[in-house]
Amino acid sequence: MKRPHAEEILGEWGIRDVTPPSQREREQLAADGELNPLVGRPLRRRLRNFRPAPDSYIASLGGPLPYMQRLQQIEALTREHLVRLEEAHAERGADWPEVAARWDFGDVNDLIERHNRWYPVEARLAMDPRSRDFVKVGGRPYQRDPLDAAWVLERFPA
Amino acid sequence: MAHDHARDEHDHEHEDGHDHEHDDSGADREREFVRRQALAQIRQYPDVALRMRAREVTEFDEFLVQLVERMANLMHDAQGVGLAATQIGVLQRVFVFAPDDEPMRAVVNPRLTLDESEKLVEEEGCLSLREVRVPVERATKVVIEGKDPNGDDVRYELEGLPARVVQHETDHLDGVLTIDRTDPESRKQALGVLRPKPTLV
Repeated sequence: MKRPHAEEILGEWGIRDVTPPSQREREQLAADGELNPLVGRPLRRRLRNFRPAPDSYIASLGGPLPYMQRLQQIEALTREHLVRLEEAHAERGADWPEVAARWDFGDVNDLIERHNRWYPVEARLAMDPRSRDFVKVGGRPYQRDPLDAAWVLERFPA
Repeated sequence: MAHDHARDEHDHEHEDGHDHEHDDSGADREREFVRRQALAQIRQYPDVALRMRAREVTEFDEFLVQLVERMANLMHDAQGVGLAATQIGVLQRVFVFAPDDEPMRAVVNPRLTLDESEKLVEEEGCLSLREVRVPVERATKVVIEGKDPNGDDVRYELEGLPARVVQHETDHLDGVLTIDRTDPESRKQALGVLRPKPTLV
């Protein structure tokens, strides 16, 4: 096999073909280099191309932020209600739907209302410009439904 | 909109001739901590919320009053002189402003009338473009009409810094930033500053 042919196959000399789109891309990159602070500097360590946010700093220094604590409280209170509901359900009578309707979820629903209102602001939740709404968190909307009788009867049927 | 309170206050330090160095440094640190906490809740360029047009407010309820109260606190803690709802990710046409030592005012659904006879170019900062100050040409006199958070009509005739601040905040509600209103060279420099910087870890 001829040497030039091997080089042609392996392409060890670098980029050979310049198509019009790749040429435009290279010109854009060259123009962009004027503003790029990385041009001409060695990258000796792993590079993170973003700045750590102040909220991350504060969270790491002072523990969970208020919106995180509120979510923890919602989870804890919901678990408490579930335990108490389970006990009440075990001793249920014919009036279980009325008991479920009278169940006081004021404490957790107040937190849920505050979460729904302020979470996107406090967590700087990203926005989707197409939907003009906040992005989903873990594949679900960030809003939480308040707890009510239907929520109880779904888990503890009459 | 950001105003350099820190510099102003620094210029007025020690007027009584006493040595408050220790107290001042502690107070400065605390103020800086509070400022960072406030800034952590204010959307920063290039957050897409800053580019979205806010919707008219239709309900003047308790939520709006709470929103305005929260925005006023954030603006104060962040040492700014104005804050639009879009800057905290709420797409509603409401902003608060308090230039210099004037009391805080909130305007809902603002309508701006510019006096185009006199314009002035001055450097502007922004709580959402923290490190950037760019020259922006603005009308020196404006009339702003709208509602207050309780739904009552308000009308302010403003001149100088307050006029500049309300123009800046109204721009925010339309998704317009100072870098869109400055000259090409300043914009280029600002974009260079705003470009994400490398952090070695």
